[in-house]
Amino acid sequence: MMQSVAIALLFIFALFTEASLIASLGKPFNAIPFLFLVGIVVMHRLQPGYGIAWFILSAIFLPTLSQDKGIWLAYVAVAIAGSLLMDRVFTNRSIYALLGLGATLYVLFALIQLFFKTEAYQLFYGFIFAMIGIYTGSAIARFSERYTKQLFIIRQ
Amino acid sequence: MAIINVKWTQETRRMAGTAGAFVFIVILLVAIFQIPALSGIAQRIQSGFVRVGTGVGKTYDRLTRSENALIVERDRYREQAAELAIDQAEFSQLKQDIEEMQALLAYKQTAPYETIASKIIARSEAGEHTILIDKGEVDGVRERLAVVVEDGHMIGYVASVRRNTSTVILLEHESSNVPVKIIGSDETIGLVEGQGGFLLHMGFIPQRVEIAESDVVVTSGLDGIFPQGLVIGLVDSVEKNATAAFQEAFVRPLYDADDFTNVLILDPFNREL
Repeated sequence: MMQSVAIALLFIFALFTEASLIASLGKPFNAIPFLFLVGIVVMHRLQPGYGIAWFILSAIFLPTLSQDKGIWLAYVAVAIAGSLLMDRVFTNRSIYALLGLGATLYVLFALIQLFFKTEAYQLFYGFIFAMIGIYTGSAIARFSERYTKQLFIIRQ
Repeated sequence: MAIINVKWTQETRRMAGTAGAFVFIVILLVAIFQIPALSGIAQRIQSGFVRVGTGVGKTYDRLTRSENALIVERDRYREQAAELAIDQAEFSQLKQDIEEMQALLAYKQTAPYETIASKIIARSEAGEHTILIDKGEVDGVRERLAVVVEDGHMIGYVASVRRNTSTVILLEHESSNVPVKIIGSDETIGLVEGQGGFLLHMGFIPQRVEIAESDVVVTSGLDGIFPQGLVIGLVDSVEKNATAAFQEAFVRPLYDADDFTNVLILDPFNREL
């Protein structure tokens, strides 16, 4: 229950941060895929179900706040691919699995957005920010797990 | 009944938790977007995020901008400042034109004779006290017609007329002379003459006439050319000499012709009925 509430609040925070704060930063920082990288960390450290729900909700609500065309399609594809990869490929809880999952899903994410974006080089910056963000996000998640076991329960 | 019989295994709990989180987020976001009070709060949070992001972006841009880019931007702002200065000067001139014309129009509507609106197109050098206006013989201008500004304050009269332009000598001109009286009285009590300076000399004031500082001096209309009642100025000082035949005074004009670009020429011989 508490975990659901915490993830709900985290999602809303990440949604507003991506649509308002990140989008207002100048180039190249407005390419940070904040909602995506937090979703990857949630998917890997908690349950794949939470991650799938996260990406589906991103596909539903992000287009209402941002100006990106086609973003919903990218998130739906990431949700589907993520559930398959978590089930068959990146099954362990190591940092390498997390980075591998993040890199694979970001490539898919970027490929779909290539059809809609006019400045494709932004996706390259997004990849770098995503990798740094996933690693940092994982470190933050591990740190918070020590003190808030109710919020981030390690999946067994 | 099927729901009550479900075995709550760990996997089932996990799926229920995920579904619960999903539904909770959807309900919360729909509430935020639909309920005015909550959407107001959300919009304030978003606008705060936008302000922070914009500030950070601008700071980063300022810190990383190249010297050449700064020089180009500086030159662009200089050009804009120069253009704005020109626009500002034009705007000020237009504003002054409008204000002068409004005052002249208001006076023109009440004046019981023909008037000719005119613009000052040239001024003499300092000390000469003449101006050139853009109306001449073809417009009906004649010599010795009074020239006024604002609401009927006389600043001079037409001295010479050409086809399309005329020369006006101002009251301060040494050859200027206008019969005047104190406002409210019926008789002419003096002659205002220019001295080449700012103050006008008022002479031929009978000794019996009481005249004081700040009395309003107006045209008397005695010569039949200048309409009576046009304001010349205020008495600045009076020189009484009991042994002299007449008193003398100095008159301070209320307006300086240098402050105006639009004037009105009065033609009392073409009366409007």
